[in-house]
Amino acid sequence: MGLITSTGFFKYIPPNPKITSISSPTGNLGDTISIFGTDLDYVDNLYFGEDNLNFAILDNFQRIEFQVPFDPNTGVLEIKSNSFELTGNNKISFLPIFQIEDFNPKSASEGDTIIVSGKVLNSIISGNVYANPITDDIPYYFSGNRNLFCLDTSRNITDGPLFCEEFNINSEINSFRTQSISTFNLSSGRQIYLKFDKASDLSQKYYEVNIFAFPQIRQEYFESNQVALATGFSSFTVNLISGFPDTNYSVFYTSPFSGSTHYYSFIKNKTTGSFDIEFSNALLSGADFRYTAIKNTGFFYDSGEYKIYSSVVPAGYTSHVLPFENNKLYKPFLMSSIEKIDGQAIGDAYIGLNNYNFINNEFSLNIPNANPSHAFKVNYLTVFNSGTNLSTFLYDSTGSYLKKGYLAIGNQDNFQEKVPLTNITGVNKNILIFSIPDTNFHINGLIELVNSTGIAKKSNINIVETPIATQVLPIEGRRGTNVMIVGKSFKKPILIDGTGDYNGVIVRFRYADNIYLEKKNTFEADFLLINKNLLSGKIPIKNIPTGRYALQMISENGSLFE
Amino acid sequence: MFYNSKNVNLKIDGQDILATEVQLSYEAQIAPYYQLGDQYAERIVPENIIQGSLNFSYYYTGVDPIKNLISRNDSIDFDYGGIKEKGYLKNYNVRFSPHNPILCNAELTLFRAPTGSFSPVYNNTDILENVVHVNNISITNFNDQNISGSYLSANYSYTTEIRPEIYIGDTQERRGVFGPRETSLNIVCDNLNPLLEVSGIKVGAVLGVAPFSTSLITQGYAITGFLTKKSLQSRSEELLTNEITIKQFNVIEEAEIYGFTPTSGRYRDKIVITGKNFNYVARVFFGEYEADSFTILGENTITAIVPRARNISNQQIRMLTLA
Repeated sequence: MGLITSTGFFKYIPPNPKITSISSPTGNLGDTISIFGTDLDYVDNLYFGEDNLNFAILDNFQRIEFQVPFDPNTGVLEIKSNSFELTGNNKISFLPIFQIEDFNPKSASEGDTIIVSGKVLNSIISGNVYANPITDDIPYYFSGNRNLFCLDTSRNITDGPLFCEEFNINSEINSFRTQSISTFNLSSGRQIYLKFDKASDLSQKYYEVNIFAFPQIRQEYFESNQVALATGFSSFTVNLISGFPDTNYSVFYTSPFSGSTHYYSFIKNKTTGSFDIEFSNALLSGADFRYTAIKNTGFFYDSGEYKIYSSVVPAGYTSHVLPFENNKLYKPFLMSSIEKIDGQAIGDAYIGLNNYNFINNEFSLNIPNANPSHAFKVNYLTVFNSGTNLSTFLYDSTGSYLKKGYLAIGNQDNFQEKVPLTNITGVNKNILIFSIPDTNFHINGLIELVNSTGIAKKSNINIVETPIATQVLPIEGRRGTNVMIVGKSFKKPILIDGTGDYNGVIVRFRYADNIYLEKKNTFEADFLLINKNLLSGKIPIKNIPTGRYALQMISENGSLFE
Repeated sequence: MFYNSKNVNLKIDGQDILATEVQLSYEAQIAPYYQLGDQYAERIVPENIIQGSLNFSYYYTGVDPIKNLISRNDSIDFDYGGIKEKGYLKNYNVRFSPHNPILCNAELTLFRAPTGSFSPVYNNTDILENVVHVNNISITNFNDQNISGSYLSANYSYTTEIRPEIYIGDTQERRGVFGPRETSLNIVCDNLNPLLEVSGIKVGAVLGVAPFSTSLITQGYAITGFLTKKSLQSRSEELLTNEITIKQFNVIEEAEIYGFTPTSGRYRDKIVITGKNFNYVARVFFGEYEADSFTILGENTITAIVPRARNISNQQIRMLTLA
């Protein structure tokens, strides 16, 4: 009565919950992110690392909405159903955008240590790599309209080819070489010559150049023929033996003059039927190595003919070109420069990629969990092989490596002065340490950190600068002799309104034999502020007797130098 | 010795009742014989018929054996702590209040003196463990006129008249003769439709009961009759309440499910259910999940759309009917 029940049982056919996509692979903390799919009402848990996130099921069970959590630990979203098997991609890489929350101390002097704290400063990369990615700035300068020179001052490049990567410019590196020697086995301080394919982009205000070397991680050797070049060759052909994998190759040659081996890489693809490589006369004269890009990158048949020619016939050239000599096939690998902060080893390190797959000119890889036991910083993450054309910043679009930092004055959108930060060290994923650079401002500065996903800023940093004199030149002279005082902070840094001020330093000569300071034995000198770290004046011509004097600087806080 | 009974041992029709209160009373029917001028009756004329009642209250625990006895036209055995006899169901009442146990009350009419002796029972079972609270009062209205939006409480009751059939020389009744039966449903709601007519409105309503914290309806209380009363009550600092009463005086043949096809399916599939007397079906469930929709194709056929289900174990098809 009222309720009737069947004797038989109805059997439910299980639903098919499926994940199809995510609204954004990255987001700020607290942002709302959507995961799309079907039958999502059967999703029971949404994990981000170890965090079990709250989520809402919307749009007829086709959308899950959640907020980017606070201080996540990994970069993988894992969607789970306790009742049914989830199809589709139930593990999605997700990268929260980092934030700066605070830094201490708020007031410090040049050289002091600042600790920055925040969220996701390790910039989780595609799921499993933990790092504090920092890229060293490399000084550079322009020459001419299209050439840029950069100076590697920090790295010890020992072996392997040299690569340059440009940031924030649309131009690509057309070619590069060393400025004065033909070898790539460089040492620190060598200048690198870069040639870009576009000149206009080089005028952009901010960009940086990174130089790094890499070792040969893995080589695969294949049989090939060697082609001897006759004297005065202008071109030669290479016959390749069939059976080569469908991948990227390098042509090696040995210079008859330097004896070193060089190579050029090209991409095997399937568009046309031939390719040319042109060598300049600089190469053939042995004085330098220079080449242009591959003229026609073409279809690389296993048994096809390939023409390599030089533009100038060298006299007495007797060496040979060895296409596929060694036949080095460079497999992709993930490269990072890891620097321990405990003062031990500093240098490049490589996160080996054990799981990669190379099929038809495309590769896939699994980013390893590179969270070491000690604090470190990753200077760059890249996947590349032997050729410059193949060098690719894997995470340029999705990664979040810290590219550079600045200390600036002004409002957040209009800097009055912007000073690059150097010596940034990552303590852990949430803490950075850097030294305050030499600036002309001292209050209400702000820190700006830039990575691939955006810019993080934190304002209200105050810098205390105390005037210090370190040297007087010359130490003796006649009346009227020019005297310079070298030191620091003779000028107060600018205030928030942009005005500067003299630091209140009085300079005077005090008679050295007068132990007790008496006004009659001191002579004030007229010194000019050359810059904030340099004062210039003259020994007074009148009213100063001959003798030994101490040059005394007195500021509002007392004697600074004598 | 004083006995403190935490639970009462009561069997009705052979089934245990988790009674909270039982009162058995019966009295002899005697008639004093007065002669003219007598102030005192010297002779007592006893009648053989005993008039008594067994009144008991109990909590609904998922199964209500008394409800199924409403339509019985015969006596019902009871055993109250060892005291046994037959009775006839005269009243039955169920009270539904949100977040409160479902409290039932029933009364049996007795025409015979019970036999046996009473033994107190010491059962420490906490009767509240199995008590079913009202999960939701879900009333399906078959009338075109909407009754109200939200229901506050409900009271389902059944009552009848019962007389003994006795012939000359009988020492006890031969059977119970049932009089007019009446079933009613009182519904208290918060906002009664003011346009609801009280006279001549035929209303069908079925109240489904799901145990607390579940959505599986285990009992249905149906009524199809006439709206006989509506009232509006206001009291300071209390909710405004409306009350309507539906009364039924007839019997509608019960529905029954014969089978369904296909016997398996997924969300949004259409299932054909066959049976009888489907005209009064109000709601269709696949286990605890209510069908997205259903269509009564005829007295013997209903099609229902499989609802979403989180628990996809095999489920019985359930229907709330007004029968």
